[in-house]
Amino acid sequence: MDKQYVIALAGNPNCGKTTLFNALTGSSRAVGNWTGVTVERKEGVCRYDKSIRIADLPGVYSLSNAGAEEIAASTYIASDESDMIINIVDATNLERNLLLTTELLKSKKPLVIALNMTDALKKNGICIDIKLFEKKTGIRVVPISALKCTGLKELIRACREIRKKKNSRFFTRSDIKDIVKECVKKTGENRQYKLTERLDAIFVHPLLSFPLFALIMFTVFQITFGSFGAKLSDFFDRVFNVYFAARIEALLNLFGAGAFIKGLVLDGIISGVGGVVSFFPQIMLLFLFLSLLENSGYMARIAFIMDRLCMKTGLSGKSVVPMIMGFGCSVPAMMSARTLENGRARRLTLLLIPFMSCGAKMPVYAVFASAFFPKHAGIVILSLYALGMLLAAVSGIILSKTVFKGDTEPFMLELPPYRVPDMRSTLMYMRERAKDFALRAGTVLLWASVIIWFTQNLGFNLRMVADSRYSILGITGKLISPVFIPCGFGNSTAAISLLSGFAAKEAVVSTLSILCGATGGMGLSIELQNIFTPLSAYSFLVFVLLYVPCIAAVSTLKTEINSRFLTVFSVVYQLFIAWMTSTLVFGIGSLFV
Amino acid sequence: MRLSELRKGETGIITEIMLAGTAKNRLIAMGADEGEEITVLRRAPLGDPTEFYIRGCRLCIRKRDAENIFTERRI
Repeated sequence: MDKQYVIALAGNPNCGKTTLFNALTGSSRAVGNWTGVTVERKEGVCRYDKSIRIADLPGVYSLSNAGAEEIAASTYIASDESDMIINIVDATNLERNLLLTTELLKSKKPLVIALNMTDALKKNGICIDIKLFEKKTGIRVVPISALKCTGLKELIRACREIRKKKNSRFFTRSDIKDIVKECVKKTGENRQYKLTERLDAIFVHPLLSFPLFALIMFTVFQITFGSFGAKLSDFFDRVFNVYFAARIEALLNLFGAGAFIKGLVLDGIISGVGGVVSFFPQIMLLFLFLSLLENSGYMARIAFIMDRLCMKTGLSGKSVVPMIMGFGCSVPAMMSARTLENGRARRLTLLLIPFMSCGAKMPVYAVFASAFFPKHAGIVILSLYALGMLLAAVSGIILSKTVFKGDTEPFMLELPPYRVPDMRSTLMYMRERAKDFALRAGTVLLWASVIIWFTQNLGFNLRMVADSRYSILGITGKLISPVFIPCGFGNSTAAISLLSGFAAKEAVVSTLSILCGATGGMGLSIELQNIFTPLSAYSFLVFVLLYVPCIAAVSTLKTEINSRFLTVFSVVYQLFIAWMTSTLVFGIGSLFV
Repeated sequence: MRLSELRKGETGIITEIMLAGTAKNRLIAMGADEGEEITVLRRAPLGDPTEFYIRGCRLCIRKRDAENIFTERRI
């Protein structure tokens, strides 16, 4: 069989490279990381010619910078792994895009220019003389529209023609201005520029920009966690935790499974994974909105208006959206931090995301707030969110002066023109994230659920126990509970529930219910009053807010930050901050109450 | 004069970029060579960064970096 021919896809960020890659490879692709860096690597088989593989390089402005993306791209191009290059060029921004072209040509690999966004030329008020362009540059140019899927077959045909020829012609940066002047002619006014200007006048308006930003974020969260998202969540919950679980139970009964197997499968695996399955549609909604925000161009505007606030904490405006996503769920939030090119800023953002109180902690807050602060529940919960943000800011300042001493890389952000997001790319992005999430739930969460079930139902003698207080988890909880005395809740019930929170934060409530022998919400409220006082309840909530996120989040952190040391550091740091703050809250509070 | 001193709507021609190596490289990669025209579009609502128009695209640069880029105001 012929060795597959590999074409590297190179181009600026925002030039439609991902759309082109999706259009060329369809559904056959592999996603991974470039060796050594946390930069996503995508490869796929070309759907127009199965003997060709397409490798999607990260979007870069040049090959000669020291960023992770640039290094990944330039190393790949210099190596033997690719046979030729498709340079995707944004036709509406030719001059700047050609800067990268001059660098790609230096590799001497055969190169074809895919002139993208030709469908937008008219609304930009320009037209390009392609034949003249080809003549002046000596490079084969194929006009395409990745969005509309036109020109793709011609592109692959051109690649087949060019592949044997080595590149001998190249032009330099100083030639670019002349080439552009001769080949690009103005045909009318630039309507796309004007539209973007008009939209920016609103979205970046000195007075309107922040309220609009708050409104948009509020809408995203309202749809995701409000009635629409909740209904979807309930549906998934019913399908998995009721229907599917019932079928499995029937099957187990059919095989005459004993209490141990039934418990493990139903109460351990299905219950554990099921908690997160019901959360799944909401996580997908978050990814959907993330993709829409990015592709429409608005995300860059968020970074622009928020940058000044972030500077003090050692971050840039680009970290804002990942942090806000953290209020929903840390997992997609950490994945969205990939948009940060600066490795240091990315790692710092990843470490700070856990401070953003995630959605799974809400049930815990709700239960305690209604039990101990019925009249002020809202304010209490809001204070927790505020505390999380405050500590994130303080941690950011401290960490950026110590562990993450800044490299003086400047913040430079390109604001792309506003575009209608491509639904096909958006859906493909969501599908990839769904697969990633399912894989994570299928492995990490499965094991965590099994372990938690084991430790909750088996004693140290490895026999099932009737009272979970005598289980491995129960005895461990009792042993470590003195640690929490300064925090005000040095009892085994609190300790055990916190331990169970490692698997998923919602488990804190269910474990408390089981341990208190409570029946239903009202019963739990009453039972909790026997174990906590209002002050110790608040201090407990502070601990829940700050201590380690769930195992799924820690596993995501490890993948994204690509450093065992930093992952361990994050866990230890969170635990320390949680314990310190909780102790301070209880200590200072005790002086008044 | 410094780039940070240009006012909204004004255009300058970059004469010198006095930033550290990687910073300078990034600017050049984005097309901000010496000799290029750069126009101030707007400042962010909180005053920083500033949005510039250069070589056909919109680029945001922080004040502390713009202070180290020298331009000649184009009349």
